Amino acid sequence: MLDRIGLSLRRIAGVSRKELVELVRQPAMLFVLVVGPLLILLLFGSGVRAEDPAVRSIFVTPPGDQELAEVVRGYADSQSERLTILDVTDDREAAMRELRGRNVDVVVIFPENPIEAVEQNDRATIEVIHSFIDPLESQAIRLFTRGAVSDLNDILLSRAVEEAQTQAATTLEEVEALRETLDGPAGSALLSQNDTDPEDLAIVLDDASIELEQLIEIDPDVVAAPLDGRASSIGGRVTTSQFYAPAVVALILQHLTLTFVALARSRERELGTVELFGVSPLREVERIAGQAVAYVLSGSALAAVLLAAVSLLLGAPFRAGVATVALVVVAELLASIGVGLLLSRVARTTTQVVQGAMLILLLSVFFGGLLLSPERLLPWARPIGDVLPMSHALELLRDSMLRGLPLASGPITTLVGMAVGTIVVGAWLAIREERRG
Amino acid sequence: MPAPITATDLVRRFGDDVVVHDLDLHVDEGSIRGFVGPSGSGKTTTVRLLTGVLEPSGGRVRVFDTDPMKLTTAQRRRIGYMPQLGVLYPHLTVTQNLRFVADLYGVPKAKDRIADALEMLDLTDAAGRPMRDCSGGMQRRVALAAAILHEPDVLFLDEPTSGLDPVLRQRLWTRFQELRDEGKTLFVTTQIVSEAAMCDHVGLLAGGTMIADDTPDGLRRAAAGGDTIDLTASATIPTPVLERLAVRDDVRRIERVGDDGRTVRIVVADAAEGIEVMTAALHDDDVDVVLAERHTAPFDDVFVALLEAQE
Repeated sequence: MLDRIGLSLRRIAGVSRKELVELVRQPAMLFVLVVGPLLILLLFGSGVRAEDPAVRSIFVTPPGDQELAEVVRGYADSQSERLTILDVTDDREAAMRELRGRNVDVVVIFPENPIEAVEQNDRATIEVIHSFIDPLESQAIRLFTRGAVSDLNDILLSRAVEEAQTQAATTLEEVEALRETLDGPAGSALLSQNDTDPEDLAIVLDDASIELEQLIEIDPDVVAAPLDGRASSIGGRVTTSQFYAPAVVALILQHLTLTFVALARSRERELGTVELFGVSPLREVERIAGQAVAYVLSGSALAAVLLAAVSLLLGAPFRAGVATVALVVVAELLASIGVGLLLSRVARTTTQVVQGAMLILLLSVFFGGLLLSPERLLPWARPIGDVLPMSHALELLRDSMLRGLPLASGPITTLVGMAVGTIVVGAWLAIREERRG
Repeated sequence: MPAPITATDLVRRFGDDVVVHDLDLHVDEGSIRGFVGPSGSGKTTTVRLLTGVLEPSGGRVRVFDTDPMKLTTAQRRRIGYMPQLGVLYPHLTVTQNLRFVADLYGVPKAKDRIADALEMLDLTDAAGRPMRDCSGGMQRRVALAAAILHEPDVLFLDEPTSGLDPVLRQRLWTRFQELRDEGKTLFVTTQIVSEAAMCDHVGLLAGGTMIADDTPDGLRRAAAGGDTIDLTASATIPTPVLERLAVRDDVRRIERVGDDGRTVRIVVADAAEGIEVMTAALHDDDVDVVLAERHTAPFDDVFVALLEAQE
C-alpha cells in the first residue's frame, strides 16, 4: 500500500518537475510569463495619471453684469489645476467657437438677470456645454461643473449675506440712536403721547439689537454654505495605480495560469504524449495533480514577483497582511487551473486554446471588474463576471490590500468552490476521454 | 501460461471505414512478432488497440490475460510502448525526458539506468541536448530508450526503425533480438519488409486484413509455393533435361536463372530433400552439378507475391 502511494507520489512529482523544467527551458515563454506582465504592470503604473486631467473652461457672464463677472474671475483665481478657467467673457459665440475648435472642454453660460429670476421666484438656469463623448467622462464633467456652479452660488449667496450684514449694521446703529432718543426727555414725551409702555419698547429694541448683532457677527461663508463634507476611505488613501494594481495582478495570474495549463494539455495531445500516458501507469488524476502542483508553484512565484513590484514600485499596501493576500492568490490559481482544464477540453488544438484564452481575457477585462465595477453592470450581465475567477479574486484583493478588511466569506467561498468544481469537472471529463480512447 | 498478447476477431471502425478486419493474434512469450504492411494498412491502429489506447469496435484483446483498457497500474509497469511519432518533449533534454519516463514507471536507481540506456543506444554524448536539437535517428533511439528503460516484459514498438539508416536499423534489430533472448516479448510493426526476416513470427497486413501470418520461412514457402533451390551445372543445362524435370510430381516450378544457362531454380516441397533428388536426376541426364543451395528469396519479393496472390 505504502509502495503504491510512494509510486503515485513519484509520478505526480515527475509530472510537476517536467512542467516546471519545460517552463524554465523556454526562455521566450518565461519572458512572457514573468517579465512581460511585470513590464506591462510597471508601464501602466508609471503611465497612469495620479490626478484627473485639468478641465479647460470658459465662463460666459451676461453682458454688462460686471459684478457677476468679477465674482467668477475671483473664483477662477482661487481654482487649483483641476479646473482651468481660461476666460471669463460676455461673448457667448466666441466661447462656443473655442469649444468647437477643441481649445476648451467646457463652456459655462450664466443666465441674464439671474437676480430678477430669483425675485420672480424662478430658479435661474446655468447652461453647461462640453465636448466629452465618453459617457463616464461626460458624467464626471456634469458632476464637476455642478460642483463649480454650486461654489459660485455659494459665493453669490455669501456676497448677498455680506450686503445684508452691512444693512443690518446700519439698522443697528439706527436702533441704538432711537434708544438714546427714547431715553431722553423727548422720548418720554413721545411715549406718553402714544400711550406706549416704555418697558415694552425697551424689550423690543433689545431683541432687535441682539438679532442684528448676531446677523452682523456671523461669517457670510457659513451662512452661504452651512454644511461642509469630508470623505475618507476606511483603508486610507489609494492612488489610481494602487487601485488598479490588484486588478492587474488578478488578471495576469488568471490569464497566464489558465492559458499555460490548457496549452500544456493541448500540446501533449498534439504531440501524442497522451498516447504514451494511456499505456503508462500514470493515471489522469495523477497527471492533473502534477500539473496543478506545478502551476500553483510557478503561479505563486509569479504572484510574488508581481506583488513585490506593485508594493515596492507603486506603493500598493497589504493592509490585511501578506498571508491573506497569499490565500487569495492560491485560491485564484487553483480556480484558473480548473478553468484551464475545461478550456483544454473544449479547445482541441493549441491555436484554439490561444483563441479561447483571448476570449476569456476580453470577458475578464469588460466583465471581471477591471474597467467597471460589477455594480455598473445590468443584472443580466453580472453573472458573466461571476463565472470568472479573477472577478472574485479582485474583490478579495482590493478588500485585503487596499481596504484592510478580512476576507469576505462570500467571494472566498465562491472562489474556492469554483476551484474545486472546475478541477473536479475537468478531471472527470479528462478521465472519461481517456477511457473512451 | 497464457500468451502475453492475444486478439480474437478484432475489429475497429472509424465511422463507416473498417480499419481493422477480424484480426486474430497470438504472440508467444519471449518472441518477436513482426507486423508488416504498407502505409495505411492498419498497423498503428492495431498497436493502439493492443495497448488500450483505442477501444475495439468488435472482438477481444487480451494483454497479460486482461482487457488492455482495464490493466492495473502494476500490469502497465510491465509494458513498454514506443509510438510511431516522437512523443517526448522537445524542450527537455534527452536525460530530462528519460528522467520523466523513469518517474512515470517508478524506475529504481533511475540515474544509473538512464546512463546504461544512453550508453547502450550510443546516446551518451547527446544526454544534455534538447530533443528538438536531436536528429531523427537520435529521437527514435531516445524513444526506444524510454520504452525499455523500465525493463518491461512486453514491448510494443510502432515502426521503430522508420527513417533510420540501414546501419542504425541493424543495430536496433540486434538489440530487439537481445531483448527477445532475455525473455521479453516484442510486437514490432514496420514498413521495411526486409525486417520481417529478423522476427520469429510475421503477420502481413493489407487494407486492415491479415493476409498471411507465419514464420519468415513459412511466408517464403507460401509465396513460392514451396522451398526454392538453385542448382548450377558445369555447363549449359539442355532444355530437354529441364522439360523432363518440369513434369516430375515433386517439382512445383522450374526456371532458368542467369544468362549462361548453367543455373536452374526449382521449387520443391522440401529444400534438403529436393537438393538431393534433383542433383541425382540431373546426374542421370549427364549434367554435372557443381553447386546446389537453398535460395532465400528477398522479403520484398515474398510480400509482393503474397499481395498479388491475395488480390
